[in-house]
Amino acid sequence: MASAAVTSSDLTYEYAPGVGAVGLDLHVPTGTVYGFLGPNGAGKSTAIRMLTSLIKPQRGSVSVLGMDPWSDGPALHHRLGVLASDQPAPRHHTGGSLLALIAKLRERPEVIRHGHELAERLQLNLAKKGHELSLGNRQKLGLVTALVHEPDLVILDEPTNGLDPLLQREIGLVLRELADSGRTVMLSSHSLHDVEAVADHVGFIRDAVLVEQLPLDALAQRAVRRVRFRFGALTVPASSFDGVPNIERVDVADDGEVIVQYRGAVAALLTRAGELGAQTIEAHPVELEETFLALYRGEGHVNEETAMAPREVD
Amino acid sequence: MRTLAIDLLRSRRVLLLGVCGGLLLVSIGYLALYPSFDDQLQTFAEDLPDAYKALIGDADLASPAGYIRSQVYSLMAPLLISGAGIAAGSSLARSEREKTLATLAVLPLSRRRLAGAWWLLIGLIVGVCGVAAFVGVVVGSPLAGADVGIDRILLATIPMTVLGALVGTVALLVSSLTGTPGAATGVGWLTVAAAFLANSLAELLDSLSWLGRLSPWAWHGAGQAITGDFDVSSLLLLVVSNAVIGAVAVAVFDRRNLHL
Repeated sequence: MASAAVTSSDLTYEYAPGVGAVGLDLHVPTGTVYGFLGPNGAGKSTAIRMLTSLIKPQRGSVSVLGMDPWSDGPALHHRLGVLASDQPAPRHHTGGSLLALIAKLRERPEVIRHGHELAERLQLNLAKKGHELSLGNRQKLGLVTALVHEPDLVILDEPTNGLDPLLQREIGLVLRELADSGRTVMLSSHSLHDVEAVADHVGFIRDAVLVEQLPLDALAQRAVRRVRFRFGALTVPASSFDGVPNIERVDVADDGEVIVQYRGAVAALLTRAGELGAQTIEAHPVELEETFLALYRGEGHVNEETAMAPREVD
Repeated sequence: MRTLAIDLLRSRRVLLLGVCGGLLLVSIGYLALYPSFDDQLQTFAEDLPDAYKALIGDADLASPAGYIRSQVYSLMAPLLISGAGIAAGSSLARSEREKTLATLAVLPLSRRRLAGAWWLLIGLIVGVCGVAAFVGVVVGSPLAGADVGIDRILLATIPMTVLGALVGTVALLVSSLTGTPGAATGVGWLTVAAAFLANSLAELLDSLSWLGRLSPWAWHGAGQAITGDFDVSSLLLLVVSNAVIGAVAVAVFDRRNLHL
């Protein structure tokens, strides 16, 4: 198993039975972007609070950059960057004065220069005071303060809240660059769409429990895919695909088009389609969102129970 | 810790200016008025009920020095300084409630240093307020025709300032324990009210004189050094109480979960 920036075993903090985060076995590989996904109230923020030394786990163990967040808080925070959920900007500080304060408290003068570079990239005006900033700009300032000391691990709770798509994309690029330079990023979101462009790994939490944790590629492998075959003048019945491995469903449209839903390897399906005289093939993008929503709905592990809803054939 | 405390102080400069302005207004304003009605005060003071005299620290209203004690040190100035201390102490909980603490809580600072910075903030705020009260009385006492040495004014102002710090530290303790600004402010003011009442009752009723020994309001002496001896032991009580409660507040904050 690759080295991990974050590992936990049975990590638990329950506000009430089933509320909070229960029995989390997290594994965030070093040098990756880890998308921590789940519906609102699923336990993402509670887990992040335990990882960032804000709350003490009631049970279990956790290691963040090889340290215990609760007992090694100050040492850990030298190497950790954190953006809390809905983090407000200090009212009396401008972005610039906040950077100056952080530089002093971190004893890292270069923070100011790096902060200005990040702010320029994110198009953030550092001359405005906290109470003058819009939601999006507050979020940008929070990101700048989380990244400004070039931490080994960045933990961001809903970092793209309130940001427009262009800025979401820019932040995605910044986070990707961090991971590509060997640092680790863990970001939470309630939307797979927010993280799938940048994440290498994803973990799904629902009702306080981590239900899945896997590389994004593996999620894609597990996802239901769709291909359409055209056989020219031939009419091919659905039963022609009987016995082909990995097929979930076959529909035949009135115009003779055959739509096949499958998971996993496609080789056997293509061989059979070739044998049947397929003339054209059209592959659809991977339906990760559908897989994700299945987890949202509590339909269990994607590789075993998730099924695509029947699709209307056009 | 000092960097953070000074930054916190800067963010509360409006509060500080307001309280200092109030202290200057009370001390200079009241004392400047004294010559215009000092004759009437003699008669008035003789007719005052004992209960009222107890409330103003048994000061001799008819003398300029007694007037300073009654009008500055017995109620208004300690109340203003206590209010500033409570505002400072409860601001830790307020920053947690408003989540502005999130920016600081993820810096490489121990919880003890964070809480310690707030404790230092209380000291800085009440310290500046104490200076304002001192300056006000130094400026105002000649206007009242009082012949009070600067050293006596200083000795009267120090315990009052430490009283403000003490109730601020009580508010800090509640902030550390609960993270609830309302509770911190409420308990801070309750402490002030209880201390004031205990001191007054102890002055009024012999059977309750023991209450005075427990009351921080009594420990500050209501400007006793202006007209009499300076009670070092009472000042020590204030300082030690402050240190103990502050240390507990810091220790509690070190162990509590922060819901940011």
